[in-house]
Amino acid sequence: MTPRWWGNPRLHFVLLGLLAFALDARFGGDDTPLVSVSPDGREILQVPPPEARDSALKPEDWVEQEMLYREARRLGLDRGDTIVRRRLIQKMDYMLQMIAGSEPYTRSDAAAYYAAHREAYQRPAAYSFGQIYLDPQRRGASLETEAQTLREALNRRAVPAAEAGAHGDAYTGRSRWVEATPDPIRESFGAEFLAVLQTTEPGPWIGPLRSKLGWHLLRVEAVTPAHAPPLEDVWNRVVSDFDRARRAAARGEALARIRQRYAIRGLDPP
Amino acid sequence: MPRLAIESRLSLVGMLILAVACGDRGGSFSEVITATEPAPLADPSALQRIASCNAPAGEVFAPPPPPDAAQCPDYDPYRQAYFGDTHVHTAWSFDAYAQIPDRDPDWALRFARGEDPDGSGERLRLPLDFVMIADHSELVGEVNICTDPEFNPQAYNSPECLAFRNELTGDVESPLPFEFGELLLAFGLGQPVVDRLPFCVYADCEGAAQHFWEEQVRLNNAHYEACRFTSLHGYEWTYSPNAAQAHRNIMFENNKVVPRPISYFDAKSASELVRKLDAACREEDSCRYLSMPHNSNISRGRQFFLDPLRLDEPLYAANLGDVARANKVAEIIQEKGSSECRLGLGTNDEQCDFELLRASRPLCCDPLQGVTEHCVSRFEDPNCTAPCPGNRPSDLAIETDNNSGCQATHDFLRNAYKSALTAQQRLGFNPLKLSIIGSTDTHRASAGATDESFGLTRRGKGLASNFGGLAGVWAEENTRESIFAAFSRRETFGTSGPRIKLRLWAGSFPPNMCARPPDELRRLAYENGVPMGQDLAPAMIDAAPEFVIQAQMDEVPLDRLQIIKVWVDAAGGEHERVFELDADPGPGAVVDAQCRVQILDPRDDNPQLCAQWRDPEFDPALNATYYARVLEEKTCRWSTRACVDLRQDPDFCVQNPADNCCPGNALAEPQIIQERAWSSPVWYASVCGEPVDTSVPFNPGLPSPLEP
Repeated sequence: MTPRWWGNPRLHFVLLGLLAFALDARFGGDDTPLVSVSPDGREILQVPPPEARDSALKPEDWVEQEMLYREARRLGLDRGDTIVRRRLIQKMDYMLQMIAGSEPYTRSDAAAYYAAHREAYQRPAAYSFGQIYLDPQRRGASLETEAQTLREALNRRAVPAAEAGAHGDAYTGRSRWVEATPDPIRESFGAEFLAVLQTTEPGPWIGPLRSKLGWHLLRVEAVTPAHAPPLEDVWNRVVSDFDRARRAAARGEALARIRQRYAIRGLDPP
Repeated sequence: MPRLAIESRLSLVGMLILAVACGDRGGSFSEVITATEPAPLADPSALQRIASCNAPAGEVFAPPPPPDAAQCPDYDPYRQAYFGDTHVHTAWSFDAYAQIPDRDPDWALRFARGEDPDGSGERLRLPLDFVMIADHSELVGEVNICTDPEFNPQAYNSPECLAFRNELTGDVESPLPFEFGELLLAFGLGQPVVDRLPFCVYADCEGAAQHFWEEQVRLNNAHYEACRFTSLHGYEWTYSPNAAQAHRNIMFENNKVVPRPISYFDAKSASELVRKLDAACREEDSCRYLSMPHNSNISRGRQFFLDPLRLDEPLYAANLGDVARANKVAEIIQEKGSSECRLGLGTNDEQCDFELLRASRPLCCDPLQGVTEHCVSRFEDPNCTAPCPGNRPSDLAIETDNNSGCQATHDFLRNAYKSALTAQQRLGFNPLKLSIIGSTDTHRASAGATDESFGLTRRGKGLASNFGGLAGVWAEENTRESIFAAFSRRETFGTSGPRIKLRLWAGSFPPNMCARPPDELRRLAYENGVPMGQDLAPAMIDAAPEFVIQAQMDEVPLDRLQIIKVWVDAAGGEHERVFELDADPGPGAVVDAQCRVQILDPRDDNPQLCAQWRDPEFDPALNATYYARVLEEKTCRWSTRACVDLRQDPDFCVQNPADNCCPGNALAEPQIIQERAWSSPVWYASVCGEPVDTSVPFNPGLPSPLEP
């Protein structure tokens, strides 16, 4: 025989479901952290194993910190604190950037970025040379002739620039310069010396050239003209800059999407 | 196949709905760490020759490290000179904010790299090789709380912050040159018992300090470019009991730094500071630091005090030992004066009258040195006839004592080296083995701006101050590790501003070192001796210690080279002697009224100086300390240069007759100086003394302001 309508199992099922949802709406909540409660009603504080917590912290100290943390949150101490607010903003910011960063990119992406921004990686001209110092105080009037004799001997024996420190008079600065830019060279030797250096091809020993310190023989070893280096040489920097640009772009897009959820008032029109 | 009954279908749907509705909505995002570190350098210490008091005889020199250890293409195992400034304040220092509110550490770092960050026209002639921003760790959070309304609005409007911003209503204009609020904070730090400002109860001062320290570290890292420009992490610990200054700068080697600077709020004495730093910055975590005292000249006897009546106390000796371990480098000159020596205090060396900030201050009570009268108030008792209370130098701690800013003999490094030798007999170690640098202590964030031609910018500061000096090191390459290693082994030198290079070795050398080519000289010097900053063991000496010293000019030729020796005789008397190394000095340069330097005698025209010198008065039984000093030819001081610039306008003195530069006033006559450089000392010890037993448990108690 057909049951009464109130005995229908389908109806019971629906009513039970409605009851479950009603209870959840009344007593459930999103924000309250789930806490376990011991049989006598106290909140459980489970000390995690050492690998799951700061290993320098003793367990007793961890317990103290965790209690203070929970009480602080309960009292709402994280609200209205500028430093906490700034931290959260920073974390959200990082998160947006990291989401963008998890997208893989290819070498040609980075190369395309480099091609578009070559001038940012431009290197100034760099000079590698050796200089041999001749002390006017020690050599006096015979400095000129001694310099020429020495220069000819160095060229005869094809002494490389790297061995500049083995010749000449005692000198407190650098004998061998490697990939130096113009400014420190001008400071040490003066503008005239730099001008000669900049117009000399790698070759034999020349000079003597004057500086504020005395006289020098000079051998230019290598000149690297101002240039944009090949991608391999600046790969790390390019990748870092490209990554940053990518993240900034993705962050901008994410913020634009987030902004659509807000009705912003009080901002002056652009 | 039977269709699913309607009940089963509903159940499935229901379960799905429940599952979605009650599913986990939480989640955690793992925190992102984005720190990058430069690659570590292999151990570069092969050139070190450590010979301590009790070193065994015949230590063998180790060859220089292989080039694989290098990070830079211009790596030089025999070391080159690098110049920097390790004492720079920015707007984040409480006593600099008022002058330069826009010059944050980023500004200072850019300035140090040779830029003109805000288009003001101020720029270095040449970028520094290295720099350390050393803002005051005390109050760095408070400064930002007081100047950023968003941080904590309640604190921003507290009386202290209002005073700091000079916004106290009803305030009479202060006649003092700096803001009233700064004065308040400075006096606060000078109290015997210092606590944080009242608003720190509700505003997170410690958190703010940590936040800005992290920002400082981030900026330093952003500007660090290995091989081109080194920015080191550091800060200043501002210990100012009773307005005496016994500050120290803390420098870290690499990116492993303390989480938050350990300030005077955290450590009330130098030894406590060292112990806390040791705990927070540990060798096993690859964290390394060192401490750099400065301004002993205005420390009113505190910075380098070694109490002769307490040297046998185990706790006192232990504290001295802790401090000595970390205190490796001292500033011999900076804006607030030079600390080498003072004419009349243990010396009659006329060159000691150089950039002394308080040349005429009275002496601190020190009955053991014969000073039994002092000044409580210079205005009421200008002849300083008030008898010293008590009979011990530690009465300096009494607040009303020596209120006029006294100077003690040991406030000057040369005398501190002497008293350290005396103390060494009883301690078993030398408690003040300080190497030497210069720095600026600029409170305008202009790192390394030591050129006297900046004169016009300085006129408001006061005639007694100067531009400060530069720190020099001899290092293999310009990286954090290499520069820090040079500081750590004490191979440093200081200049009074110009980039004078100064180098020294001590030992027993082949003849004619100064006639040899550069590489041969350096190789023989390192192989047969120790560089400056090291101990010279008796076993290294033939008959008497020999020194090889080299100096090179910057813009002005060099005048002469000297070695200063201090020693203690068998009876305990302290001595010093200045040895002139130039056998044939010329008459010296002449400076005219337009500040042009004229060198008339070729003997004065020295772009470089080199000397090989043996101590003619050596007594192997007596401990001694040696350091070199090189002087430039005479030039105009910044004050006179500024006057020359101003007097270009012929009507200037007509319109401003009372200006210092005009006739009848302080700068009517030109001020002429000789810029200089000092090397770090070499310490000779044959007699160490029996070490004090320092194995006692640490008992902090309440530190007195004189506790080391």
